[in-house]
Amino acid sequence: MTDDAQPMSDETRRKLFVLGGLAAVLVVLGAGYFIWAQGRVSDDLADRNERAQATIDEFEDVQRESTPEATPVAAVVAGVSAAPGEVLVINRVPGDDYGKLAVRHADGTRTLLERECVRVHIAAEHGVCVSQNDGIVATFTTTFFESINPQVEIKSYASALPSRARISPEGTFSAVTAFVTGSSYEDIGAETTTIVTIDQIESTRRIRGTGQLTINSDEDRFKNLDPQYWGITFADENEFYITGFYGEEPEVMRGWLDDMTLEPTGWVGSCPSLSPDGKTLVFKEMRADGGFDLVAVDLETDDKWRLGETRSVDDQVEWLDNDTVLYALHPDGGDTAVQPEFDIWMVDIAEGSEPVLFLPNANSPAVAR
Amino acid sequence: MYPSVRSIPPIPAGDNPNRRAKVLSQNLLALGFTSFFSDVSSEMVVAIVPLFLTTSLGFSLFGFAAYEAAYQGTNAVFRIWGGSIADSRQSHKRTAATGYSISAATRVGLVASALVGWIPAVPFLLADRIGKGLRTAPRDALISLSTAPSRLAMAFGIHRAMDTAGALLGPLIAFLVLASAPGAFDAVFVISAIFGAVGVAVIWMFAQEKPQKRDESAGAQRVTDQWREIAKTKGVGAIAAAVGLLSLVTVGDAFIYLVIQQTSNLSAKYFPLLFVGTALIYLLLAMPFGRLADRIGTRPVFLAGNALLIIIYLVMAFSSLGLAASLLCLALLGAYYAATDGVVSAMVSQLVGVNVRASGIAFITVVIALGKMFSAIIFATLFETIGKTSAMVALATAMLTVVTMSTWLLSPRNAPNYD
Repeated sequence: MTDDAQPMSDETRRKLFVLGGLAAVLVVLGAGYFIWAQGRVSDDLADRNERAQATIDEFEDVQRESTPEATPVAAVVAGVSAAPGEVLVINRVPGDDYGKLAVRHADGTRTLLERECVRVHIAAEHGVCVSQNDGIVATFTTTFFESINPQVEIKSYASALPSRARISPEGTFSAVTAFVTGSSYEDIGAETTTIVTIDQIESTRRIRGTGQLTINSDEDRFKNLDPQYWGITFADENEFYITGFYGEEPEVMRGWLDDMTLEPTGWVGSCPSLSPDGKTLVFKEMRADGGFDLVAVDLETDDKWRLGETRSVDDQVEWLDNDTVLYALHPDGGDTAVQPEFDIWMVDIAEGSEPVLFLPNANSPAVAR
Repeated sequence: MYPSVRSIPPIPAGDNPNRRAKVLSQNLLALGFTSFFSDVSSEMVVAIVPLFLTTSLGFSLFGFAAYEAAYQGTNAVFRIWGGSIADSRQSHKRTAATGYSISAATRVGLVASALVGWIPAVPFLLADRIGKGLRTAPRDALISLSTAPSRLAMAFGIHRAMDTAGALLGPLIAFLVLASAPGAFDAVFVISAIFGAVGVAVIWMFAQEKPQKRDESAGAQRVTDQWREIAKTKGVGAIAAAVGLLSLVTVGDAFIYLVIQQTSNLSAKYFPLLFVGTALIYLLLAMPFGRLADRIGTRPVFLAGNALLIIIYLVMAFSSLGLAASLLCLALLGAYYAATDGVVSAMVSQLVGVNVRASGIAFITVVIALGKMFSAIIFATLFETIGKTSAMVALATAMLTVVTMSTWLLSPRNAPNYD
């Protein structure tokens, strides 16, 4: 204190001494806990890495037996190799290689690439890799690459956790969904919302945000002032399907990029994904228990049926071909805070088909076509 | 009628009641350090909550949105309640310290929730907001009761600077912990609890009650009497109208960040810097602006602070928000906070009687909070119907109008100043 207050009393001095002692004890306790937590985290990771490696070895052995002409494992590819029959995935083996882009070869083996993504998609030799940046504010980076010779361009958004990525069939547009959390000094005014950003890949300019969408419908729920959008799938370089949420239940909307309009399809569900031939739409339908079923709709007949997968799937599926979808699920015990594990499963869209393990410890499949 | 007590300085100011009056009281130091440690503690949690809820507890996006809505709703109610209790019992320190203690105690619950799967985190996060709602108004009232009227804005400026320093440090510590022990949310909560505990120890040990004399014959003051007294205080209505209108056209900083990040082509690595920059400007200007407000009056500084938003809106309307324009916006945003946040508490303290000081502060801050809630809806509507540029121009025009109206509302004729 700089003023002419009376000198510090014995009472105050005693209290300061007590406070100092208390703070010292707390700091020692905190440091001890931190060191213990650090050790626990690294032990846990080592265990999980070992288990994942064992699962992968077993999977590759089984695959080799059923794949008569196994392609030899390529040496580490400099760029992104995405030959037909190969699938880009994100490696989810806990440990140092967690989050690396990888190529799944036809024989079930994988080649790791030197690029980290949380979500990847590829079409017509154009790829998008969305990666998350560590920092005080969650940010992510959208990197576009060509499948042979990766030319890197970067776009960035703050305060967002990326969750879905798609490239249009001819590689003109990319659409990324992210989960935005507001940051504010104030208690009131913080917002949580999803954003979908659509970029034109050649110019790497963001051309559209879902704030620009208008809905061609008079129904009352579309007068919602704060609609949420996520999970785009492109039909062509103009038409798309997207999840819209107007306050009740998420629903699948059909839209057009040229005039940024939407119309309701009438299907309640989210994260649509259109088959390469444009005939079938698969999306998630909320179950009573809060989980999600995968359902398919034949766009010509409007027939709708449940896929053979009975576990809850929280993913936007990727089409392996016009009859088979790929999606990621957590293995038992894999839904952890740090480096959560995923396995990629595949299922034929015909009713009652059995899901088959496509690749353990990987997610975000992107099929080169 | 019992004579107004507000003309009696809460602390005898000595020979020189003006510039030299003591500003760094023991209470201000104690509350400043308590706020510093508590803000480190709470901002550590706030920074990682989205990550914790969605990755660790498997919250869906909409579950998280529901949590945020509840989080905002509880605050206003408990703010008013905290103000009322503190006034009717004349227990500002006890009420504020209880609020800080509740918040600190919730960290223990969060540690348990992070370690044991079935213990939910959300009740503890809500209890933290209850603690925060309870403590805010009594704490500000205690600052005002411990400071000479001529130094009020400076005292609030010092307090807000210490508070903001904690808010800057908190996320940094949280991310350092998570960077070296990934996923160890429990360790973040343990360290947060330790900062919270130190803050709580400081307020219980060093802050002192400042009981105010009141009409003893009336017995204990009832809540309805408090509100009658606030309602009767000339000028409170005018201030409430002015801050209410101003906050209706105030765009939340979350939205300003969102517009900047969606419009500009800045690299992601700058965004944390911009965010930190705003807080640093706030921290640096809080004290000088408080001192200025003590010299020339709280009202001109408060109005000028709001007028800064007009410039921000116009820059956002017409520039492509490159690095320079974004920095300008965020610096102005920091200056806006420095000129308004603590200053408005000082402004109310100059007006509202000492018996109902905490309730009066609670009332005005809740009006501001409600105004900002509506402004978010208004802004979203404008933004989507007429586009960014028109929306920002409309808001700038509205802000200019409201600042002009508020200048009239806050003129001595409508809201007498007792300095």
